[in-house]
Amino acid sequence: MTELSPPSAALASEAIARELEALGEEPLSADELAMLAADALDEEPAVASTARLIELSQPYAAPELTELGAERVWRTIEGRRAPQARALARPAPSRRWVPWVAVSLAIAAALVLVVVIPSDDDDSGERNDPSNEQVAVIGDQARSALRALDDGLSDTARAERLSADYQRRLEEVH
Amino acid sequence: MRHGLIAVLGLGMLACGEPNEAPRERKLDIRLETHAVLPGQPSAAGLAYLDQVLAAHREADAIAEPLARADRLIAALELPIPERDGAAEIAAIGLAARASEALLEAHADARVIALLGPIVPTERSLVIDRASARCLVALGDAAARSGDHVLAMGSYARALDMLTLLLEEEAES
Repeated sequence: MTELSPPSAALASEAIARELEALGEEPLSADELAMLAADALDEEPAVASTARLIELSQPYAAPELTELGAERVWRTIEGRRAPQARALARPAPSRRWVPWVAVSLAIAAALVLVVVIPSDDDDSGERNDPSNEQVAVIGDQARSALRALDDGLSDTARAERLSADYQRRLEEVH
Repeated sequence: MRHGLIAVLGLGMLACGEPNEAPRERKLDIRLETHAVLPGQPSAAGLAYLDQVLAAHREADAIAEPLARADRLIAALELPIPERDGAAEIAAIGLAARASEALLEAHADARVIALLGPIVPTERSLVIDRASARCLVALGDAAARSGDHVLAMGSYARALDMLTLLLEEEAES
């Protein structure tokens, strides 16, 4: 690629400066101006990708782009997107409690079985009341699981959301 | 896990005694009938109900004394609930949960049992919502403090069953 002649580079930098100013962006830095003068910007990967994307979005304006060329550009873009997409696909931290709650519920369920099953086998037909300890343990389990499923909203905030959603649904119907 | 729990708990399913019956004469009842909330057709009456519930919560926020706060919420519970309206059902059970927790805070355990007895009986299908589990835990807490271990154990077990359902919903979503 040939370097821009000094007048062309000056014209290009002035045009870019006007566009950046109109967009409210920072003016070109000294490094960027140097790259523009050397016509090296087009070879920057990010600039080249952006230029290709613009071409691809206007297929009839880029008749020189072959189908194979377009495929390669999209593969390159997709390759750059993948790490970011994988990062976004990771489970949210807020769901980390799920296994813990599952274990907690399993323990509590087991405790209930311990209490219930012997009573069923009792020939006298009478049941023994659960002990203070049994009630305390299963109560702790229930409260722990309840806390783990707390969405952090107050009752008032939840009622506000419920009312707002309902109003929106009602407006959509009418 | 839940299916196994239900299968075995079904063996222990026994009839529930009358509320005023002495605790030792009653047997453990851990039945839990549930239904998913159905949004239903929104209506002006439904919106008016939700707004009244919201007003009750806002007023309750400003009441520091737990018994007075509970009374404000219980007054809203007496409003007629629009039929076949899932949002209204959720709002109502949310009111009951907060009211019962305020009563617990005031150590009015007998009032918690009297309030929640007709709202979360074993014969009634409960909406699958965390507020239902809150009611069951509150009932368990009140019963435990009152020395009614049978009711306490039954309520806690039902709460855990409800929470398991909520977990399953969470896992599927």
